[in-house]
Amino acid sequence: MPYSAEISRTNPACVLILIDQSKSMDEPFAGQPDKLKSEGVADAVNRLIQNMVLKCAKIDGVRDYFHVGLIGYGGELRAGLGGSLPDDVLVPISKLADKPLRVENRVRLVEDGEGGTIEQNVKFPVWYDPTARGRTLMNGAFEAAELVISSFILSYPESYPPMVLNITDGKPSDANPLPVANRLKKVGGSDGPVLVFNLLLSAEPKPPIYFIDDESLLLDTYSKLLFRMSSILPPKLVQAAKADGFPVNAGARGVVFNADLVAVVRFLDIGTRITTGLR
Amino acid sequence: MAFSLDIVVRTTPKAGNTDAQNEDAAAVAPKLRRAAVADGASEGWQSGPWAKVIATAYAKTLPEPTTFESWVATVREQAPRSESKSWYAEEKQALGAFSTLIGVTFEETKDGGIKWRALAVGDSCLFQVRGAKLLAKFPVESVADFSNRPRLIGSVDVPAVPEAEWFAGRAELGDVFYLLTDAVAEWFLKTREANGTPWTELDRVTTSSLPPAAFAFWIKSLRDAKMMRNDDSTAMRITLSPGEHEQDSP
Repeated sequence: MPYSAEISRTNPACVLILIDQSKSMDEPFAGQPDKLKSEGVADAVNRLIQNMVLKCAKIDGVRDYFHVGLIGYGGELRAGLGGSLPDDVLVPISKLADKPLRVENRVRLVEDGEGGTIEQNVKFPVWYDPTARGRTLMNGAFEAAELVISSFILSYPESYPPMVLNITDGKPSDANPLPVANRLKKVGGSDGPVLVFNLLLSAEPKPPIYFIDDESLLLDTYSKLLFRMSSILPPKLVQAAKADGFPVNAGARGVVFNADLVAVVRFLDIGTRITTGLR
Repeated sequence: MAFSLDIVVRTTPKAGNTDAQNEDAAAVAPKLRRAAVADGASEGWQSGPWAKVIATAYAKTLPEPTTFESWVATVREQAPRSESKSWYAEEKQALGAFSTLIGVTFEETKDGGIKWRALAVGDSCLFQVRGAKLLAKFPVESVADFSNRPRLIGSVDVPAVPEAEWFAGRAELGDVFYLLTDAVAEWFLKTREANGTPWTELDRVTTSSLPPAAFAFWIKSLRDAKMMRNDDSTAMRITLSPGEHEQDSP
């Protein structure tokens, strides 16, 4: 059965994040005048990495269940977490855990166990700062991703299928990335083909939407493009999404609007899930 | 009726982990005729030591349905703490450690029989076997009921204490009780659902005369044959025997 490979240190899972760093990311995010899309992206990326580290952190260290990479596209293609394209973009998660750019103090609301919420001070590590300049080389980023992923699959042919998470405001300016995304979705090792996820951050104040299965719900061309580029969630992920409270149907795609992709990492099974989940 | 518990415990870590990274735990108090197995959740922080704390607490002090919440509150005072040296250690420590628990206690009845009571939180399981008959399975009754989200007892106040499940029954001398963590329990039920007698195999590899390595070897062969999930695996076999215990060795 595909998508059932055990995620372990010998067979790690690859998570490759593609980040739109183009000029248009300097626009306000979801109708919030004091927050830019580029800041929304940075929060999404940092939360993703934070959650991956927390999933792997044990008292004796951070276990390398994930190999993580970041490719930024805005004017040029850049590998964002150290290394260079295309060979060593991916970094074992333990290498990132201890080396954020800085650790900020933030306040978050947590459930108090009695139906209410309380404020809690938390550490928010930052690996990635907002960037916005130049054109949107999304097609180029997916082509680079194809190289990175192919090399990972050669090294780890039995690993859980690599995941490509693209975070964008959705307007490619180099070429249509659909053909390369469709190609990527056919590449894979013994546990199944690559999973492509897309997160669209919009300037409009639209509520978050997760994993829809019907393209006709989307009105604009770029949302439809991202829908088509995204993988259909395999049954195991549909099940995990449902267990996490997302109202998903069979045929749902790995596409999310105005939210974040932390859920995708939470779905991955590296052992017994704790009831609070990691956020 | 004078009776005692003959107890054999065998455990082996998930393949790829060391013995020290095994987050299953077991505790016994033969004189109190009590035993427990706990399975620390892999996503928690110091879940292994927490599982040990919980299993040991059960062996020492028996919780009742009406006192379970306060029992957990007392046990939490002994939760493992460590100095946070990194942002993720601090965050995970705040999230807490988590563990399942299956505990069983045996008592003589006024009519000279034996009764047992069990408590479960999560998917660590108890099975009672008499001869060739499986008499009780608790709390998971079929393979389909396992998931990667069992109920867990946390070492911190949030989330709230989960509801425990309670079960009781009668026993006879010669009955065998198995306390198993989820991977072994799932194999046990799968084998039983295919009309097999999993206890026959379990008895063979939990014989006190066999070295613990025999259990580890057996588990490995089941994992290699894809008949058992790769997870920390623990089996406690309790046989009810005639005679009294001299002293406890928890």
